[in-house]
Amino acid sequence: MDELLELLKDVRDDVDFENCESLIDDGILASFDILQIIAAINEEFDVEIPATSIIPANFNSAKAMMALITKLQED
Amino acid sequence: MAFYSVAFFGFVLLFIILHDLVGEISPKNQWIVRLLAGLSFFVFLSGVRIVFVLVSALSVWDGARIIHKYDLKNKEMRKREGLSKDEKKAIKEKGQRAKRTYLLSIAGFNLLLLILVKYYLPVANHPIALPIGISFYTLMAVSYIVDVYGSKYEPEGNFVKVLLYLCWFPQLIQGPINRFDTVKDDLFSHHRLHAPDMRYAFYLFLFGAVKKYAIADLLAPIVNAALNNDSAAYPGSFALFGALMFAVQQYADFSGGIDMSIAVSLLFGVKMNENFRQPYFSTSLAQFWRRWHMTLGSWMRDYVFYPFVTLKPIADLNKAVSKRFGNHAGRSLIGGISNILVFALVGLWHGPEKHFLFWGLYNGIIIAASDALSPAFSKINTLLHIDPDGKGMYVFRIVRTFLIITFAGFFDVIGPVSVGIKCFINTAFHFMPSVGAGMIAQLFADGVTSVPAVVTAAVATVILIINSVSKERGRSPREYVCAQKFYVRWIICFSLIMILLYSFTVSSGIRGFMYAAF
Repeated sequence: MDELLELLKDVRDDVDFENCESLIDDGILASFDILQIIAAINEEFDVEIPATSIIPANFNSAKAMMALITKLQED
Repeated sequence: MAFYSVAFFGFVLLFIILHDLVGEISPKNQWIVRLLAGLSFFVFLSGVRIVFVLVSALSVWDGARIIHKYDLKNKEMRKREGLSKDEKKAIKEKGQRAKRTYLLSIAGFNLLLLILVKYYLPVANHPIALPIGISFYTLMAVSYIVDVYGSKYEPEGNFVKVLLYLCWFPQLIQGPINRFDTVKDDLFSHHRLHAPDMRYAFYLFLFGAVKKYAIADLLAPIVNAALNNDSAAYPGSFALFGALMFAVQQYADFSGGIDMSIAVSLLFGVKMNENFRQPYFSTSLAQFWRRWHMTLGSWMRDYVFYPFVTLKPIADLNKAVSKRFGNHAGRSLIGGISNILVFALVGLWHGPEKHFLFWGLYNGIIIAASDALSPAFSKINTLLHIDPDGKGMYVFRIVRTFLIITFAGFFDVIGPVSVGIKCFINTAFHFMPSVGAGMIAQLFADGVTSVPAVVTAAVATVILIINSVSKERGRSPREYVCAQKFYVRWIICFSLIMILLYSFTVSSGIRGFMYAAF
């Protein structure tokens, strides 16, 4: 989780990723931020987030992103 | 077979009756009637070239199943006992690679088929008539196999069901580019004709027909007279007039046709994907593309833009540029490159002619530039004390976006790119309004158009604008009409029918749909 938070800070250092639960729904992250985050996660965690997983529910919070990563790693 | 033709009317009527009969006798098999309708429609229009859709359907049906099986097998292999973490990882990577190769070859095969008949053969001087709907169903086929690859849903086991997804007839003429997961339930289940659905379909079809025949077809001769290979010699005012008429014609033609397609599909219980959301109320060109031909835009986003931006080399480039020149530079560069790529493809999707590519690039470059310049724009706003969210700015943005789209018409309609550019220059430097007005008057004198035709188109356009404004404000004009007393409903309905019938009497000819050519 710390690894993820660090990676997120790299993309946007002005967002409270630790506590925010509505990154997408409240428009905090722009669509391009998400793509940057995906690219970083793919590299850092050695997974491949498919385009079909790019939905708000998966990116609304760091916790949700971590869940997606874990799921992809287990698959 | 056009929507207004006796043949189409007979075709739909026949299959609606058959559809309902089979639905009564054997609800489970009702979808087979839909399949028969799709196949007969295809053969009716494209004869033996039905082979193309059969091959596409077969390739993605089988490909998706193989990819899915691969996935399951790979998972099983990793579950074996005694494997170290690294061994598991190696198995997974091997599986991923094989899966990706398979995906790329199947998707590539389908795209190559499209490229062959749509681009290669015409350019090599061996044109064949395009199989109906190939530009639309090929993208649908690709989306299906990519979605299965990304585990969005499980593959369909039954080949003919995938075939029905690709050759469902209302979508073959000009889209929408449906997605498997959004239409499959409707496509394969049993439907009874319900009065409210029928009523909705009827209104939608009628309104779509008014757009198509009372606006688009009546404006077409004017557009053709103003925007053509000779336009370089016309005053800017006349070319701009043509482009404005084209902006109206294009929307009326395409959205009217889609309304009719969606309505016909509804008669069989199949809700297709929406393709328009009042696009001319967009406040930026990027937003316009999220509201115009939405199914093409979202296809490009999901299957070109996202995968491209998250490619490793692109992500690395982004990182390097962001580190050196800041985040904004990184995203402007990568976003810009991706947008230009996507819109070049959107342009080419319309056809092999150079002006389509140019038109796509025009869109892509403007979107990329407005992204890159956004900090400068907000600085200007602050300097001039402009409230970016104010009402004035909102209207200004809508008008600006509309003009950008209107100018794009020069490249969309006119074949030679150089003539399109000349129209641009003339609009800026050789506007000559009085000469333009004279040429417009001449259109009437020459019989290119007539006062009744223009008045009919104007009345229908006003109705269209009222409808769009009320939708834009979050109201539902359809529900409003349906909630009225029956005689009010009938007055509205008959007025639309009268406008439609009248438009046929003043029309210089019924035209096919513009987007059916793509």
